[in-house]
This record gives sequence, C-alpha cells and structure tokens, in this order.
Amino acid sequence: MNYTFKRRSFLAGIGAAAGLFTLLRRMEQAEAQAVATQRILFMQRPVGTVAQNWFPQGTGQNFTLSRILQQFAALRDRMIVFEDIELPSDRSVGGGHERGTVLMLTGARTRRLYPGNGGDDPIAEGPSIDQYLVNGAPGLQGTAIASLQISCDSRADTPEVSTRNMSYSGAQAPLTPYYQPLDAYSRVFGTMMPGGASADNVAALARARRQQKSVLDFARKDLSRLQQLAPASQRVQLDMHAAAIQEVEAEFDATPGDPAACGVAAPPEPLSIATRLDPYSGDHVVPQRDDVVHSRIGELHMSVVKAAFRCDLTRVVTFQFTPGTNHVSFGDMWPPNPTQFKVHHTTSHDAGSADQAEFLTRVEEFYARRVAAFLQELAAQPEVGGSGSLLDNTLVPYITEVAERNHTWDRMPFLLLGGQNLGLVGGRIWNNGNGGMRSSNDLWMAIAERFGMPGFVLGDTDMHTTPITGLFG
Amino acid sequence: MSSRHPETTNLLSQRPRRASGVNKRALTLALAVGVAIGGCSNKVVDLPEPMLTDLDPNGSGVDPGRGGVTAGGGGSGTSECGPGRLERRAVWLSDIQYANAITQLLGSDALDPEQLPDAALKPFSQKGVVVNTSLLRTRLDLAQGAAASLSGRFSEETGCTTTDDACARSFVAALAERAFRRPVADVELADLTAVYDAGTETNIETAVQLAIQAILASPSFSYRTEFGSGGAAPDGSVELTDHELGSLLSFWLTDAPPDDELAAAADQGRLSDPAELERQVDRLLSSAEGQNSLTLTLMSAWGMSNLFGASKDPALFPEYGPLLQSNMFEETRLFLNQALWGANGSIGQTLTSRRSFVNQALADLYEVPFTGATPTEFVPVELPAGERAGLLTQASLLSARARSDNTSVVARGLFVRSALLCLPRPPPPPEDVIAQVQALLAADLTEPERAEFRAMTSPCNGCHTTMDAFGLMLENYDPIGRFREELAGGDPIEPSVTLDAMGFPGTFDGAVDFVAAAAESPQFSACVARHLAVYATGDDGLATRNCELDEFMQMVPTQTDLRQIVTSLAGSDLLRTRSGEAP
Repeated sequence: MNYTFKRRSFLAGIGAAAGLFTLLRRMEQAEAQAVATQRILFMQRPVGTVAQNWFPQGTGQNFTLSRILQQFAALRDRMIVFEDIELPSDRSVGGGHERGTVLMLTGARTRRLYPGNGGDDPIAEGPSIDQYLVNGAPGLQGTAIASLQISCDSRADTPEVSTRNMSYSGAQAPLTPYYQPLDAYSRVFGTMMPGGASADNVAALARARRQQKSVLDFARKDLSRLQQLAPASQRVQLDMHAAAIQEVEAEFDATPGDPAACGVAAPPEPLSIATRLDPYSGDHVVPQRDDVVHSRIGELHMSVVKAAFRCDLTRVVTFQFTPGTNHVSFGDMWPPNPTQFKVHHTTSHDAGSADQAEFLTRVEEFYARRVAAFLQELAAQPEVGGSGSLLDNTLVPYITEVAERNHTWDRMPFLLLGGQNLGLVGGRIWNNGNGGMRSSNDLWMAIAERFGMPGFVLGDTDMHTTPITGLFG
Repeated sequence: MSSRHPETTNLLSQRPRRASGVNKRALTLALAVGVAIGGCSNKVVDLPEPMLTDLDPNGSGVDPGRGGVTAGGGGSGTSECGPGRLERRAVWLSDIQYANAITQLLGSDALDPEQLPDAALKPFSQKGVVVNTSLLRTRLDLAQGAAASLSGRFSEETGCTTTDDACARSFVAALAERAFRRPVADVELADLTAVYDAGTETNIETAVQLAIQAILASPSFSYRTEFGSGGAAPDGSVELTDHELGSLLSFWLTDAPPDDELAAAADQGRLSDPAELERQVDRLLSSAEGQNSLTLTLMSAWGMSNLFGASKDPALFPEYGPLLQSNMFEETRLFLNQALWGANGSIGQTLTSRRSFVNQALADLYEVPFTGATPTEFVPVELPAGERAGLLTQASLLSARARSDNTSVVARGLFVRSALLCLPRPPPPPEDVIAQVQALLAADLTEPERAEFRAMTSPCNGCHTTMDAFGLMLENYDPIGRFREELAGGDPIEPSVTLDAMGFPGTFDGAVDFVAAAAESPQFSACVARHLAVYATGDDGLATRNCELDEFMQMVPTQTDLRQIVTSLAGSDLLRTRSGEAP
C-alpha cells in the first residue's frame, strides 16, 4: 500500500496500518454494550422536482408510485413520501435556491446577505439540524468523526456560500463539504503508512501523534489566554473556536480505521470536476458532458460514506449532489435532441415547456436512481455487531432546496427512508391528515425527538409548531 | 402611439415614444399592477437569480435593524448620533491576510500557488468569521504545509545548522514575536518550547517545523486583537496599543502584517504620535503593493468581482468569456492604480480620467487603435472623448451591471446610487407585485421603456425614480460595455437625464456629463471614505448613528486625494479607540 496523498492533511502520517482493527474492536464494543447504532444521512438533490411526475397517486398505504418514485420501488416499504411539507420561507432574504438551501436545514430566517456575492447570498443565522443532532443526540455521538459533509460539485453562479453548504456549526459558520472523494477518503481514513504494523511503524506512529498533539495543545492554551482578555461579547465566538479545537483533537485521538477492512479496497481516483458556468440566456447546450463524471464522483463519495458507516467512524452525514444552481450538463436527456448536453439549472429557468418538464424529470430520475441504489447497498450490508442492516439503523431524509423550478417552497418533494430499527413506519404517504402544510422544521423536530432530544425546537417561533407525530412506531 | 397596440391602457398611452415590438400579453399582465401599495416596502421577494442581481448590485444586504446607509449624501447625516464605538474584540484574519502573513514570514515557497487566494476575489475571501472545525482544519493544513516547506531550505530560512539546538530555539522565539505581531510572554514561550521539545524526539529540523506549525495554527496568529490597554477614558473608550494599531493599519492598507519598519515603530511606542502615524501611512501608501491593495479594496467595495459571475449570451456576445472578464478586471485595476496613485492622481480622476490600459481584446471592444507588441500586452491608451470617462464607463463595470442579453437600468442605477454615492438603498419590490415585475421583465420592451413604465406606475415609482435615471444615462453602453448610438432593436438612445431627486440639480447629457459633476460632489468622496472605513473596521453595518463615523466624515474634505482620506481615518477615533474596560 504505497500511496501518498497530494493534499496535505493534518492527520498525515497517522495511518491505519498500525495494527488497529476497527471492526474487531467494534464487535467487542457491541457485545459489551449492546447499544444499537443510530445514524442520519441527509441526501440532497438540486432544483426540486416535477410535481406531476413525483407525487404518487393514492393516499395512506394505498398508492401507486409515480414515475420518479418508481426508482425507489425496492424501498417502498421503507419510506414515507411527504406531500404537505413546506419550507418556512416567509420574510427571509436571498435568492430562490440560495434561501432555500439555508432554510432547508437551519430552519432559521435569513436576515442578511453576504456582501459582494452577487447580491442574493443569504447568511445562515444558526446551526443546521444535523449539527444540532451531533451535539444533542446521544445515539449519534462517540464516533471518531463527529459529522461528515460531502458534495459532488462546487459550481454555483458565483462563489457564493449559501447554495454550496448545507451544514452549519453555527450562525455564519458553514462546514465546507469535501468535493473530491479522495479528500473525503483521506479525512475518514487518514493516510496509509507503507510497511504495515511493524514495531518501528507503531513507534513512529506514536511519536507522530505526540508531536501533532503538541500543536493542538499550543492552540488550546493560546486560545484560553485570548479568551481571558476578550470581552464578554466575544465569548460565544471564542467558545466555538475552543470547541472546534477539542473536536479536531478528539478525532485525532481516535483510532484510525482501516479502509480495506471497512470495504474500500483502494483510494478513490482523483477526478477533475468541470469549471464551466452556464449563463441564463442562450440554449444551455454545452460542448462537454458532465453527468458521467458527476455520477462517478457520487458513487465514490457514497462508497466512502458506506465504509465510514460500516466501521462506525461517523454517524451524521450531509450529502449534497450539487448546489441548487446546478451547472452539471446531462447527455441523453434533452428530448428534442438527446445528443446535446444540456445544463440542469439554467434550463429550469427557461419558459415552461413539455420538453423542459421531461428533461427535469429525467434529471430527477438520474438522482433518484443513484440514491435508491446506494440505499439498497446499505440495506444489503449487515450492521457489524448489531442487528439488521446499515440502512435499518440509518434515517435518510431525501431533500431538495426548492419544491419546483419556479422556486416555490410548499409541497416540498421530501422522502424519509430507512431507519427501521429507529421505528420508521414506511410504505405510506404522509399528508398531515389533510390538515394542511407543516413546516419542515416540524419534521426535523420530530426526528430530533426520535433521536432523544425531546422539547427541541428549530427556527424562529413563527417558523415551527410542534414535532410531527406518528412518523415512528 | 403605435396603432399596433390599440388595447393598451391609458397608462401606456402616456408613453411618448413608440413601443417597438411590445409583447401584448405580458404587458397586459404587467399593467395589471392594480393595488397601490404606497412607497417602498420592506417585504422580501423571491426572484430568479438574474433579477436579484439587478436588485442588489452592491449586495450590501437587507438589514432592517441597522438603519440606512448614508455618507454625507443621505440627508440624515445631521441627525444626532449615538454611541457607535466598536467594542473591544479579536478580529479573525481573512484568507488573503492569513496567506500573506505566512509568506511574509517564510517566503512564497511556503504555500502552494494553488493555495493562494485570488486577490481579485477579495470580497469572497472573508466568509467564515466564526471558527468551526472546517475553518480550523483548513488553517491546520496550511500551517503544516508551510512548516513542511522548510525541508530542503532549513539553513537558508533559519540561519541555523540542523544540529545547532540553541540557534534553532532562538529562531523559533524570534519567529513567534514576528508572527504574533507583539511581544511574546514567557509563559507563551514556555508553551512553544514544549512543542519544540516534542519535535526533538525526531531531530532539530522536525522540532523547528513543529514549532512553526504550532505558531501558524495558533489563535494568536489568526486573530489580531483590538483590546487596548490602560484604563478607560471618561467617555468609556480605550486606546488600542501601538502593536494593535500597527496591525490594524497594515492589514487594512496592505492585507499583510506590519513590515519591519512599522513593526519597529510599534515596538518603540511611536504610533501614538500623529506625525509618526501619518509618516507610516504615507510610507505604506507609497509602495506599489500598498497602493494596489487599496485599489483592490475599493474595487471590492464597488462589487467589481461580481463581474466573474456575470455571464453573457454567447450568441449575442461570442467574444465574452472568462478571458475577457479577467482582461476587463485587469484594465480597471491598472486604470484605478493610475487614477488614484499616478501623477496628479485623485479620487475624482477615477470618475473622469480617459487614460486607461488596453490589450488587443479591449482595444477592439473600445474601438481604439492598439499599439502593443503582443495581443496580451496592456498598453496605455486615451479612450475616446465624449464616449468614455472613468470607472462608470469601463467595460468591467458595465458588464458586471447588465443582464446576459440586455443592459439593466436598475442594476446600473443602483450601483451609482448605493455603491458610488452611498445613498440609501431602496428595498426590493414588495411581494405582491412580483408576478408583474416578472412579466415586465419578460415583456418585449427596451430597458428605457421598462424604466418609463416604472416611472409612471405605483408603487414602482416610489423607489425607481430615485435610481433608474442613473441607469438610463448609461444606456449608451451595451451589456459588455461597448459604446452604441442606438439600442439593440434600433431605437435611438436618449441618454439625457435629470437627477434632481438624487441631489444633482440640472440635466445631464449622459454618463460622461454626469461624472464631471459626481467627481466634484461631496457624496462621492464621502462614499469612498466610507468604503475605506468599512474595510478598516470590517463592519459593513456602520450606521449613521455612529458618532465616531460622523465625526470622521465631517473631517473628510471634499475633492481630496486618497492619501488624505486614509491619513484622517488612521488618526480618527473610529479606528484608534474601542469601548469597554481594558483588561
């Protein structure tokens, strides 16, 4: 295993080959504690859906899957289709996809824009639900990596913050996702150490750890001196910094996983992600096809996530296919001329047409197919030292930042999948008992409650009511 | 009135000119704006991205809690001010500043070129001001990379052999002092020694690298402080220390830490002397780096980097792309550097000078002869009189403030209003007229026709009469900034506007006529001063109520050069004092 990463990583030199067999340890732990592992995996796709091809026919448990949802047929009994969720978008600032992306998981009203970012880039005003869960849900804690953020494409109309980040540790504090599967892999598994677990290597590893740890020690002490001098108004900000140091340190202390044992035989190949941006005017036909590489990036990221789940290296993941202003071009999808490569988001801004709806539907199917296949993989993988499959212990919200191409936020095309061991009662449509729209915050509050955070509320007071009931048995 | 549109309402019949190719259905929709909502509303709307760019070209954000933005021109500058003094604080260095701090300590080899932030994207570089694991990891990685870069040049950088422990230790101690931009306390040095000692387990070279990594990854390196020292004055303010002031000045003006001379002045406690402070400011602004840094700061305040997000219809503008965008940006940078800092440079020159720089592509765009030896070379040029004068007529700005297939009267008008003159920015259209706004944009109308419609229609005219005229006078420049005598559809352009509502009495015959007046207006120089104050304090919400800002603004003379403004600002309470009890 003679492999070095191009990217310099803080954990460089700390390898899995020191004879640390995560899986065995996991089994021992599981036997000793018999606590079921819990996870949550937020999976996003961009630009909403095409409602007539998304929502199923029927009600309750009696329904016929729609054309797009047909991709999830094998998971039908393990999913809830939401018909009446809305993003609480009222009185927030920011563009359609921009605002939607921030509201989707932070649930907090956006009030300010980043200066200079094209004028529609809202600032998140609080942590996202995944980070609330990381900090508040006991069943989601205790792993080497507190949470992992993944994205498959970094392009947005401008280098803006809002559409390119789903997770926030706090107001104005985005957690930047990994775009390259190789970067995600090196974060999860550290760096390989050639030569295996020889005595020399083990000693070298221990030394390298001591040395790197001294760097963090210094940062911690330095910060605590700064904290003493700073006024009370900066306490929160500096406390967050201290918490970040602590989290990195904890990750650093954790036993690295062995990627092969976790199911990734080789590091992902570095992929070059297209940089072309498509203008709003024009025909949105471009010379290069992105969807093949895009799909590969997604697949490689998913294999890292699956491996991290298998070895219980993290329990909270946010997975973004692309920012809402998706610049990925797709081949074989434009009805009038399938040989053309058509860009997703800018095409969605054209005047409505049957061809456009068909194109957008096909892109939705593209994403649905990949998510469904991945979840089936998780369903096929038994939980090491636990009961059921990885999917049974993983709750998977499948979400997007707008309901449809025209930037509406009611009838959000959301699914909740997996999580059988968490009690998710699948195989049905949820329509709030015909009681009208409910805020997405109510959905996240229900999930927080299920993860052991009763009384948790998300968003401004007028942006939520009570946790949605009846999702879990 | 065109007989092709017999069914249009009397609103339209007031239109003095023919409506060429009006899309009837869309126009009917647009005209269905029935409810008068009365003036500007603060409600927020959802619009397609290109429109939002129109609505908020300076992107300064909607923040009802902060009050409006005025800088002498807003009319409310005389109302009583309140305590606006900034609190004592630690300030997180931006990515650009952090990278510059590393290369100043360890040379340009310390960072991979691909890790260096692009100075052209200055406004994008300071996003994560709250430190979380994501930001922390980024800096830990950069610190480790920079430390590792010493391999192979250890003796060259440290002046020590790889076996001289005493030399290495004193190198580390000296480096910490420069890195922290202040004296280092014994207890800090002891902590740093612990890191060094951990490295000696391997060898001295590793020990030094580890200590460097610890220094560069430390909070003291990534934050600069504005804590002040000594007791509070009767008004509750504390003065920044000399070291703090030195860092503030340096990062503000050069985006880099203090150089040796400024650091020495701070060490010797000389910065509290106004004459010395002025001398240092003058010195920093005499260097090409300092001048260029401040030029980029102004370009960033004017939202010039939005150019890189401004795409154009390739069918209409095949020559426009990333290359032309960066050419345009470069032209403006060169132009501003000369206008601000060249012989007879002044703030006014930025609005009036026709002396710019072009390469072949830009010479074609401006239709001027090109004298460069190679097509990529930028050479000085005098742009055509009557067509061009200063920043407002530069291709970069005109492209950034236009849609992909058409100009945008609103985007350009808002730029002049809020970014150039710092007049209060009107709120976006109320939610209940959004469908009509969209219909208006979709209708087959020219930009002047749309402006005309807005001027005659409530509630649009409540706000648009305070901005559209600024945009209309720029209609002579197409979406990529080429000069034109008629609109794309062949209609003649009437660039003549009256700007009484905006504080510029009289009629102006297009942008070139206007900029002569604007360059001499107190609004413009005060607005430049305000942009600099915002960058110095990192507080884009500096409110009118802020007494320190008011006080400073009153000191800013009109028609001055940038050095004078910077010097006044450097010596002002706005920069030098903070509120609260010093530790």
